[in-house]
Amino acid sequence: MKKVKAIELIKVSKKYSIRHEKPTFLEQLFSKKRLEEFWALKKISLVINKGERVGIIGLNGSGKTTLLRLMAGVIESTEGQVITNGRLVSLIELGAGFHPDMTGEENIFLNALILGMSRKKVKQKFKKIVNWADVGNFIDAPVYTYSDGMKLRLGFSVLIHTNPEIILLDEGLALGDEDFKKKFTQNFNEWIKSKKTIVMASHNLSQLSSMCERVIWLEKGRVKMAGQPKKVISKYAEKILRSR
Amino acid sequence: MKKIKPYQQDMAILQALVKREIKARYKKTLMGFLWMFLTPLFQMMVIGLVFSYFIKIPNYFIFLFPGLLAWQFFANSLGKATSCFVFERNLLRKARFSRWILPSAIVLADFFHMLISWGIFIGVVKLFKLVAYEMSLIKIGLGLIWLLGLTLGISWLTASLQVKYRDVKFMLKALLQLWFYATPILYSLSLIPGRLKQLFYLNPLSSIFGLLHQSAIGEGVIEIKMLIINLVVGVVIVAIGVWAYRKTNKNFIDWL
Repeated sequence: MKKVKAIELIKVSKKYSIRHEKPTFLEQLFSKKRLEEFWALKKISLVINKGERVGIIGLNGSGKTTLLRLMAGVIESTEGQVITNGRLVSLIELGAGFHPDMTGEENIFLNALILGMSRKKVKQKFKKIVNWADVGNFIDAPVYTYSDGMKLRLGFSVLIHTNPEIILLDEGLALGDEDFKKKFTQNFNEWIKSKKTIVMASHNLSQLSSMCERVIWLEKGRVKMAGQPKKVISKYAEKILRSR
Repeated sequence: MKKIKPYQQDMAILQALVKREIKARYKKTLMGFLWMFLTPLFQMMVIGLVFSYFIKIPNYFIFLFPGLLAWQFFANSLGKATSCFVFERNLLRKARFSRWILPSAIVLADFFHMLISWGIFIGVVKLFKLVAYEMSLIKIGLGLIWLLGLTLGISWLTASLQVKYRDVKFMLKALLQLWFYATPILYSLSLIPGRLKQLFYLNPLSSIFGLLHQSAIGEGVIEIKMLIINLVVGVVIVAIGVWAYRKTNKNFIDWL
């Protein structure tokens, strides 16, 4: 089978300027201070093929979330290029993006539209989304009356029904109760079966080594090592142990 | 699967958000739009009582209303739209979509409420024959659309800046207070002496309010020269708004 690129990063860098306080517009107008720079990512080149499952490891602050956000397109790189090919959803901020005063139904609509689903498609899939989320007759109630679990299920339900081709996951999906975890795992297995492209950042090394085909180790915004999960993870674990 | 055109999707999101804004107002307060009407009505009564001693305009109370109504839309929607990216940070984090939709939806929803109030105003004036002047609905419409365009442009500017600089909101508030008196809302330009009048060329709102006053109750002045200069200043401000938005919107999340 010919390999199709799902995500391609070409020499991608992301710069942040360190500010110790939020800048004010007045200050900005009158001062031309040079700011300290911080490169969250430096010259990352990377190709992820369609159907591949890639894990990202690294200590906190190594650039994992920045990398995922760049792939998701919610921020832009300072240098280099990020190319994605296919419908993409990020599960980085799950359960977020709901408006507390709006009902579940209105939230489903807005969220699905923002994720790129057409209005017609949302209407078609509406019942399925509600059923999966299992929020019962709360669907007409404002979201502030929902429990955290319900919000989580609703957010996730909308995401999976957009029929994504590329899925970005950040750690913290250990959220939710046993029931949610079960549902989530079930879905995850379906994604694997249907050859979706999955990129996940996690600290759960054993999970990554069993789920991914390739692992990328980020250190201080650069790719320290990439390749077979077992190899990379054992080196990574070794390094962590040594530094302790 | 069929690809949806991006602008179609933008419009769908815009529509959903405007609906949400309108609904939210009705849900929280019974007859939500009534407040949009009552506030300028009370203002009209208070200001009218005081200022009618200094400002001699026939039908002064009725003269005040359209200006106060339009100003309330302008000031309120800007105030709300400026903070919208900060409030909706979770939505912005979720996916990539056209961010300009958020402030625009707030402005459009307020515009909708203002239109209802205008409808009531026009109806009452006509029904009780409060002014002898025959209203020009087309000119009122033009004035309101002009005001809408300008408000949208400024909201893109202030909302984009607010993401990075959190003091923009306060600066806007102070500016609006001055702007209120620098705009012919409580008075008509015909009362302004020649030399002072030059300043009104720079205020893009001058002709809009002149137009509204003139077409609604037959008071107030429209000068072609001022109208053109106001229009140009307005277009420049909107262009700055578009520019600021385009420059910053891709990295909003970095500041939220």
